Amino acid sequence: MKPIIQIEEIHKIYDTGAVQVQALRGVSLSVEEGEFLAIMGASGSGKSTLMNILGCLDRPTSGRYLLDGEDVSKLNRYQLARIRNRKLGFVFQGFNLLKRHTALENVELPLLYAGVSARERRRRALAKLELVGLADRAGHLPNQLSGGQQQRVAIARALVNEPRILLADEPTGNLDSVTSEEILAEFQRLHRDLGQTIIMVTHELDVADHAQRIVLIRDGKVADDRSNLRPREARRRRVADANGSDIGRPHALAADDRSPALVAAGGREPGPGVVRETA
Amino acid sequence: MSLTSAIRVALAALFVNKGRSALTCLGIVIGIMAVIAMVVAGNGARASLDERLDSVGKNLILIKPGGRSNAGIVLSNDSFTDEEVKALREDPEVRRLVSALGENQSHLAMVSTPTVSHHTSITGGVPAMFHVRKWQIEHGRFYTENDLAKAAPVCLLGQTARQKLFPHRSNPVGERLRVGNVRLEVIGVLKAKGRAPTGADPDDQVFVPLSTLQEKIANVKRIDIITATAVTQDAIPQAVERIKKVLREKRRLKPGVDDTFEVSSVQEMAELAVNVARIFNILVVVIASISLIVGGIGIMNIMLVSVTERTREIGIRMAVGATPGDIRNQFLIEAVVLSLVGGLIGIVLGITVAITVTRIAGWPTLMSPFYIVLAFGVSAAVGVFFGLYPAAKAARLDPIEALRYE
Repeated sequence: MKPIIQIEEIHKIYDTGAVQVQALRGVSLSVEEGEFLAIMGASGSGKSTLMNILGCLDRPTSGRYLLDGEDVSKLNRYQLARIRNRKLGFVFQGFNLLKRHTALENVELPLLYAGVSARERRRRALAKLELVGLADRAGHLPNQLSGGQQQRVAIARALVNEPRILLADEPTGNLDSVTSEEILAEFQRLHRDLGQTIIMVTHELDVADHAQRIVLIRDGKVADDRSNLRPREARRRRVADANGSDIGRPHALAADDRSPALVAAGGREPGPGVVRETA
Repeated sequence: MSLTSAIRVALAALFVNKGRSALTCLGIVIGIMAVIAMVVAGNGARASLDERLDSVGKNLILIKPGGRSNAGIVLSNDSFTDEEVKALREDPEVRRLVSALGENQSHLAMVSTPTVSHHTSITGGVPAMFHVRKWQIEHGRFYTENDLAKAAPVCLLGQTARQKLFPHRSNPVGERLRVGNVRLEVIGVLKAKGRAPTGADPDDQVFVPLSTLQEKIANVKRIDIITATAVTQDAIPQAVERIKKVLREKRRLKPGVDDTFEVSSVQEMAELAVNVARIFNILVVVIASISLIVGGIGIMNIMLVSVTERTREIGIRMAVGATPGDIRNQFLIEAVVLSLVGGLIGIVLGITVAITVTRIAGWPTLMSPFYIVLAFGVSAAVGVFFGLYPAAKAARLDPIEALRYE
């Protein structure tokens, strides 16, 4: 496998005028295509700074960043926007959906900036909503969706441009444990079935444990980098289990969310963590 | 991002804040409305003035007794003598520059029919007057040189005088009138001329041969005014100079002495009107500029608020691949759409106001597509100019900061 991300001796210094803050002090990392990587670290460790640089939202003060073989560490804001648009997909902690736009319009957004025709945008966005099991919610506004559904819309948006890498920044941070498992299961499925490269930033070991490889950042440096030989399998709801493997059945979750009757029929225990979030 | 997509995005954003967008447009609406209304109404007023000057005759030269000194003091009020009129008529230069020349004398008197009396102005003139003043016949005929030579007891009526004296007869040719002891036969009725620029009603007159007025009605010779028509508009200044020269010679005025008469042309008055119109136009442009600047600042202000409010949205758009240019264009298009919508409403309201004003004033409504295109262009320019700063501010945002913004 060839490395899709290669960073060498990345430094990032924030100059706040009075003090210089060294957020990253020489980080080197290589990520191969098809990996599911978790970047872990406490707050202030520099993991978010690393994420921003990997996501081409920010530029390193020094060091080299090869993304898909292209050196992106010296690109200007326009070029970085193009890279983000073509090669990266973001999933954020706070979902970051446009409030006044429907789920479908939110998913279409990256294609709008890629100059894709309206009809093609619609077709591709619907396909991705279907992938995350929300095709029937295409016309809903974010505040008409649960937190888990909103995050799945965000995942569909992140995938709509067929990105080389899916970047997730604390994707379960705003979700209850049951919904968090759902989202992590979604990532694992994308990784396993579609070979999607995923980099996920988190401060929770429980969450990081779902990845294949865990990189620990401490004080702006890589403190540990190890393979997670037996990643924890995200727990699916029983409705999926009852119907056998959920792989290849992406709509099981949607059906679950949509119809309490079906849930009841599936005999799922209404866990205490099942809380519908409205953002 | 394609332009149509960008416009759609901008329209959606504006539609979210309908009330605010509408209020923001208001400045532009008022500015454009004022310009359109004033320009169209102004053009109507000018056209109507032009039309009246034309009906009087643009080449008309007025020769009146009573010159004024530089200080404005009336020097003399001597009316013209037959000799002076004859001298003008026979001067070869004047003959070359002037196609017709006629003197007349006015006299106020009571005119009666067996049933009605009407106090009006009786104007004695020569047949050439009809040519000079562009009077036109509605019924009957003008008086002739023959009538003039015989001091014939004949008259023509203006439309107002006809209406007062013969309210039920549009064609009273052949009827008789009485002025003092003199009986006059109506031989014609003139077409209506409409109110003069001075406000006088030129239709409230009874027209008789000059000799009839001087010998039978007024019993006095006092030429009030001589009117002449220059052969062309270009000949007017020369004709005015020549007439002055002839009259000065006739009155034996020494060089340096002020004229004891006044020669003016309708063209001079027209030029005065054009000057007034020019000043009016400058004022319109000034007022319009001020209101468009104020409107533009309103747009800039609301766009700045909008950029701040939507910082997070900008961050999201940038994260998914919007370039700074895409963001700048989005806000720029919003500003332009705001001011174009304002301009459009302003155009419609302006035309409405202009039509109303010109209808009430009785002026022609002169609407040209050029004004609409211009108003549209100006509002677009205002949008671009005042939208550029907020749009640039939005484009300069850092995506990370913007995403973190609450």
